[in-house]
Amino acid sequence: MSGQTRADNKTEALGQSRWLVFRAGGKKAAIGLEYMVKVLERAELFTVPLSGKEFKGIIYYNDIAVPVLSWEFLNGRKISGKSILILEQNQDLLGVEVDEVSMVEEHRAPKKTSGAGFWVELSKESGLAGLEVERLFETLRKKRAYPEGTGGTDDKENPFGG
Amino acid sequence: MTEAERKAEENYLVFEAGGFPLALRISQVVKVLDKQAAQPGTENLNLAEMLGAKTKKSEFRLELLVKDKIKSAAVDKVEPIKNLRLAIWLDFPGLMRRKHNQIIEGFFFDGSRMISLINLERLE
Repeated sequence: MSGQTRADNKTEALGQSRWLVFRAGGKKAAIGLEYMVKVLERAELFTVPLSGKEFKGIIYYNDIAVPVLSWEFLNGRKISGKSILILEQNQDLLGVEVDEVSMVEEHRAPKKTSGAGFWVELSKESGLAGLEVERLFETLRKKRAYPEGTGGTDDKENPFGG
Repeated sequence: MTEAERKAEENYLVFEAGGFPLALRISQVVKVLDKQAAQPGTENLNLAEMLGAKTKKSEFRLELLVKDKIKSAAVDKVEPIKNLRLAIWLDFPGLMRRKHNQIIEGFFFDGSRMISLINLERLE
């Protein structure tokens, strides 16, 4: 998802960013389009030993073992999906299970939050929340992502919380 | 020779423990025994528990070379010794690497299974 157009430049100048909206666990959320690599409609998820509570397993993609995030770690809820979004940040790949991908929307780029969660509010009207991908990757890179029991769920923007 | 090519040249014992398909370099396997034929007095290594699971059938017992010591591990299934030349070697994802999973070197993907390569030299 590279290659800038005139429309991209205009979007950035207005402080807008583009988000891929998806549905998972019956709720809508979004991921910044700049992190998207691929939407896999079908991919076999393999459970592997000692993957930790942050990951559900791995998938085979382009000769790489890509870890798939556990929604339970992200939101405290067990969610499975038919499709997998492949995200990339600083050369690390990560899969996120979703039910379906809907459309790309433009929203004002949200400010970075200082809370423990991974979600930012994109639209008050629709209640759409966006995943803070950089924060998520940074957390996963740490030796232990979160102390036992917290799991990053104390996030008021979390669309899956409750 | 790349890491993937080097791995394809070696022979492995592919087996199952705790529900996971696993592989060990043949140089780290001393003997494969029936459960009944296990030698008494050998230090036990609970491989399934180490991998966060439970041994299911314990049909076989492996005598393994762990840092110059022979240890015995119960496993559920054992396949004939093979090379995994046709399988695709996949490095362990950096994002998933933690201290507790250092024992898993990476994976052989054979089209239907993701076989975890266990390196007993990394056992703490």
